[in-house]
Amino acid sequence: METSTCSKKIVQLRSSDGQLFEVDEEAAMSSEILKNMIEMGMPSPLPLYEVDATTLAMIVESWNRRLQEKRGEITEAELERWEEEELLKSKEPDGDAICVLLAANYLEDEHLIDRAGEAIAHHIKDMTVEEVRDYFEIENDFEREEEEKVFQQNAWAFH
Amino acid sequence: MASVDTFKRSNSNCRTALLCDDSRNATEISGIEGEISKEEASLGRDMEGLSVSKRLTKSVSEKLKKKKNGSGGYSNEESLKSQSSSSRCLNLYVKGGGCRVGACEVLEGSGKRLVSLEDCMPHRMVAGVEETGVQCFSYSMPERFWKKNVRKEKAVQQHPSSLASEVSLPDDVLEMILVRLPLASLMISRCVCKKWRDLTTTPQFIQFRSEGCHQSPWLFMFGITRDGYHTGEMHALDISLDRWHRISADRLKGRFLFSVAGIGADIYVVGGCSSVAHSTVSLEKGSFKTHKGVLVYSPLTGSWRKAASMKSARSRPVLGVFEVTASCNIFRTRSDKHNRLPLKSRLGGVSDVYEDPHRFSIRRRLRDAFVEDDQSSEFLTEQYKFVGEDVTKLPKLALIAVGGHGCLDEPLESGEIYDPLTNKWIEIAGLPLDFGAVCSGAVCSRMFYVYSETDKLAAYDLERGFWFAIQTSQPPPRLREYYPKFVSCQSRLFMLCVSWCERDGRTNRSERAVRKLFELDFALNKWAEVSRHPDAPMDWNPAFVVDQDRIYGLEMFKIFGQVLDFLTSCQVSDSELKWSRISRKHAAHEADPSSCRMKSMVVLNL
Repeated sequence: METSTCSKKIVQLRSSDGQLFEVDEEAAMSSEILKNMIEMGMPSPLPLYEVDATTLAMIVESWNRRLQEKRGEITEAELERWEEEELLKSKEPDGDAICVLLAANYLEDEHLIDRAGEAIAHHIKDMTVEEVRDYFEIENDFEREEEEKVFQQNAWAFH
Repeated sequence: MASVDTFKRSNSNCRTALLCDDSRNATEISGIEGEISKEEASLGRDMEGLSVSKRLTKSVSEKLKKKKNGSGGYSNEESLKSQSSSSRCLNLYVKGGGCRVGACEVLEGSGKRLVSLEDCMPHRMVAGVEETGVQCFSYSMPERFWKKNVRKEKAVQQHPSSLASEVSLPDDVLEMILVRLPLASLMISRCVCKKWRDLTTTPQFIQFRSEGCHQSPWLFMFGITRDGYHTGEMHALDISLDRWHRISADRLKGRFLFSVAGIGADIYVVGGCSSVAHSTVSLEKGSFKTHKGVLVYSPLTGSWRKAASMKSARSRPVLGVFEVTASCNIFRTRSDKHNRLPLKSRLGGVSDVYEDPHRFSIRRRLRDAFVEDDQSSEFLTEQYKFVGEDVTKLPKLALIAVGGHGCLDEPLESGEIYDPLTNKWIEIAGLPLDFGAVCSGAVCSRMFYVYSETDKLAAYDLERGFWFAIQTSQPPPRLREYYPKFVSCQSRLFMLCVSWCERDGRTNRSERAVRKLFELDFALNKWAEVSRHPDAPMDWNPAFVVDQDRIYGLEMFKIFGQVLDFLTSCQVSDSELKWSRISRKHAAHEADPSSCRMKSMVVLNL
């Protein structure tokens, strides 16, 4: 763990594709995994094998913003708006939220897991069964009778 | 067991991941584009071997192409290798826990395209995040932590490109999405595929979901009759979305005059009648039979089950749901029969229990106690408490049923209490003498208050197990034709009844009847008016239920040639109790006027 001469501690992170990122230690503490690594004194740069550069960039930015909100530099509303629109692209979801969710799950960042989970749930909640299958590229693996049974039990929610 | 399934699942997915890694290795290192189609083909074959859909194969190979053509990507070979090897090392843990050096039999089988032996050696990995969690002391690490790492490994094959990453979401990530779905969407998600159905119907998932804050109130309406027949339908209103749903319930066909109550996320349908001659709604004596039976519906799983039957058959019993506390005496032994003594001495008190951490012997004894107990009204105190504490973190709720009408339509004075944990009914003392027929009741602060048609008020002490009459200074004046209804909210007891509206204290010629909300002042034993319902009271048997801090009211009556339902609610925590409409839409289309008498409702948080 590198400590710079100024009072703020910086940690270096390396994404799965080799890019290096610098982030405030305090901000990085949002992730349980990084918190553990830092406390255990792991050498920098901390490698994150399952987060690529694009997603990591977004996540680091979100940590910085959360730090800003904690310090009162931006309001909670502004933070939420940024998260919804920029981070999770709730308005035109094209898989960004899922990347963020996977990375947040890997990094064990509760807040981000919650936000990303909500965004995706919100996106799929009004979809039909077929639409959900298309979105997640899932095949229908029910047998005929099974499918009928599960539809019968749950179909009241459709109308 | 969940963990075994996890291993199996992650095992097969790990193999998939391995193949992708390998093919990536091959494409990167060989660097020849022509290789791709060959890789693709063999990849496809292997994927098929794993019964993965062709679509999946196609999208994975598309990913490979994108990766090859894209810039940036895996330029660092070393990190790629270490990434691959780290993912492989995790396979060892999948296999059986513990760090096994040289456990390459796993890899040899699937990883035919291993680049070098180095990749087999787990301990040559660069220090990284997986290792911190998954080193040789795996047994001492919390299982959840390293299990999660195993799953994260599946995400290795993910690429930054948008839709492709959705191809294989690990189960725990999927759960995080599904647990946040509102109920109607959750039901729909169950129809997507087997995995989704299984994921969302486990008790753990439902428990997890109920602990979150993604639930909203749902109102269930029962008792709608159409064309003279009890359809056995429930109408469910998603209050937050103002959307009605119709749920068919064959179990309830032909059943009427039952009472409903919500316990947790289940609806209990208690007692009631059914016609002897099937299609008529006749209430003449002899043409119907009264039930003791109790049916339970779980909207979350869409399933019905039978609970233990009551001691007495009752139609329209007055129900209450209360929390059983440690100090509750209802389930304790009444008397020590000598055939109980041997059991008790074996128990020996607290220390006995702690020597048996899984409480297996206690449970067995308790079960045996029930089998020998023909009265079924006695529980051993310590046993009950300990078994109860084990089972769930949720508050223990029980159901009380009082009064109602018996087989010959006679008003009943008896009461009984049901414990969902043991699935048993226990009789309690009868109502005070000359109480009269009970018309309504509600649980408030460890008491079950009941009101009779003769304006008598009594309460059953739910902790100590006895009735006592309450003298109020003056019962609120009310019109006899309208049944008074009790509700309790936030430790306050309310009664809704219809009275004349006095204008300026004097009776006006055009006086009108109005439904008033009275609250009982416990200190003074006096009823005071706190609110008036804005709608003219057209329904003489409205239904009122409470959920959290709201009172919901349902009135159904014939107007403009059809039967319509009107739902209103009032927030009790407000300083001024005002009623507002909660749904503009009507659920009970083409219902018979008799539905007014038959209807009942319950509100659950789902």
